[in-house]
Amino acid sequence: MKISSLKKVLAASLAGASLLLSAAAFSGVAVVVHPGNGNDLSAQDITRIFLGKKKSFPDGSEAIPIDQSEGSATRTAFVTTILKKNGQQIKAYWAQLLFTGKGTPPKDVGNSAGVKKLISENPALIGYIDSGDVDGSVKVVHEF
Amino acid sequence: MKRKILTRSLLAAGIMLGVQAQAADIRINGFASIGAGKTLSQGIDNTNTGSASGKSTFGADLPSQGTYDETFDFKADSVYGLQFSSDLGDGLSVTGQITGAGGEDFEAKVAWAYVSYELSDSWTVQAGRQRIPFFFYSDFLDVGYAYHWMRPPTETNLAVDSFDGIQFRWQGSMGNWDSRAQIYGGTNETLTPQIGAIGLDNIIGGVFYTSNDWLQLRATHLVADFWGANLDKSLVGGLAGLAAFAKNDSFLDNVQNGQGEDAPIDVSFSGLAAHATFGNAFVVAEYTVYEFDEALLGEGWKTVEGSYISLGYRVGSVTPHITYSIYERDLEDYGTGAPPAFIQETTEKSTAITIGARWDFHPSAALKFEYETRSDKSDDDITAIKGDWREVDLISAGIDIIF
Repeated sequence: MKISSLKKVLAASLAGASLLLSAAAFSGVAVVVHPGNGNDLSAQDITRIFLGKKKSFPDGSEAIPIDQSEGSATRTAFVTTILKKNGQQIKAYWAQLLFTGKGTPPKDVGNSAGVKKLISENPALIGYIDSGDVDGSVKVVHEF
Repeated sequence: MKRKILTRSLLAAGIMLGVQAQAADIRINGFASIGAGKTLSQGIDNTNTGSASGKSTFGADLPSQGTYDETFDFKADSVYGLQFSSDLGDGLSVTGQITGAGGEDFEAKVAWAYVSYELSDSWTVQAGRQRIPFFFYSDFLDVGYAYHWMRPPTETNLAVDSFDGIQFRWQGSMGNWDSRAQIYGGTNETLTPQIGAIGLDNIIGGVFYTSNDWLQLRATHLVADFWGANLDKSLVGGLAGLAAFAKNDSFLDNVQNGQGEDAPIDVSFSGLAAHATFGNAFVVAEYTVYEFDEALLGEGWKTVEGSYISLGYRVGSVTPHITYSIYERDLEDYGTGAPPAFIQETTEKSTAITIGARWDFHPSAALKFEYETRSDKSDDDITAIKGDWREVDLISAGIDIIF
């Protein structure tokens, strides 16, 4: 009895701590590309690329969007703020395109580190990361 | 036969793809819907609903003939699908979708199997088996997760759903609007419960779709040569007797020529749809019409209109919704039985109200409940023969999953 209630208290405080931590760590979201990518991108360009409506950057070069894992705070913020959809809407949107051969959702490459690593190696990629994770391996084209 | 060949070639393609899986990634996605329901209303005694037993029936999925009656049923709305796609590089990709519907005892069939090639940033060509884009929801009719109902209004649903042929797709943007256009051509052959094997030859169609961040608009048009195997002139001799009761020249011509593969008739299909989102609320409406150049022998189908308007409001993870739909079928020279079961012109009509809710209880799954009540508003002369056959109430519930 004591042990189980102790466990509960521990679990609750851990959950509380992780909530606090994630809130503290979440400073903002930066949309990033390869440092050599010279394109200026508006929020609308970014939306079009991430919704599969556009397959190239304004200069005509190929644009491939990449996603973070489903459920990550950064992805949720990006989808709500930039794509202006909720989790269910974006899922239904891609289901419509995917199962009709009209498009494929962006590849899920994990967290900010995964996004940065791939982008630093490929100028065609575009992704988003927590603003706090921005470093010289990527270039910020939009921040919110 | 065609299906078998297609299945085999798809399997062969699958094996070949499997062999070179290291070279090209294969993406596998799937969807499933498990639905259950039953009709509530009293049955009517007629033979035209496919139920001569006086059962009250509701055709939930016309392509698979999934039908509800007064006994609880888990098949009519249930469907699964697996999609395999592989990007072979340089704009070339292969896609296959295998689906199984409860109405067909979940037997696997090839719903889509096509090769797609990106001609440019905005043009793509696709060849193979594809969905005919009749209705706003046609392309993803089987993917219940993608819409709020148990099934899109059956007033906008046809037994014919795919074609074998070629399609050109375009996409582009102007200002705040993103647009897509499709032009396609091909053939179809389908087995229907009411008029047996039917076919569409020389299908030519187009779709224009445009959207901004709150509004979607769609227009579609198609023309084809329609034929029915049992409408062949060698088989319509029995109808010749009816000619005596018909004062209509076109009917006599029809009887003489038949409407079989040798003498197909023109059919055209048109549709308009709009979908608007206002924050948590949305409204979607569609109007479709198809018209035969000559009335179908016996069944008398000439012009068939289907339309609906649906409103939904999202409250957290729950979306209650309400829909009003209308079906109207103008008949000419109706009559397959002995005279006086023959009517020169009449109209079958029904209106329906559907209320329901969708609950997104999981990121990849939704639970749905729905109640539909449909009233027959047909002309008296046709209800005298068929009864109020469109009159039915239905309750249904289901789960839609994507993976």
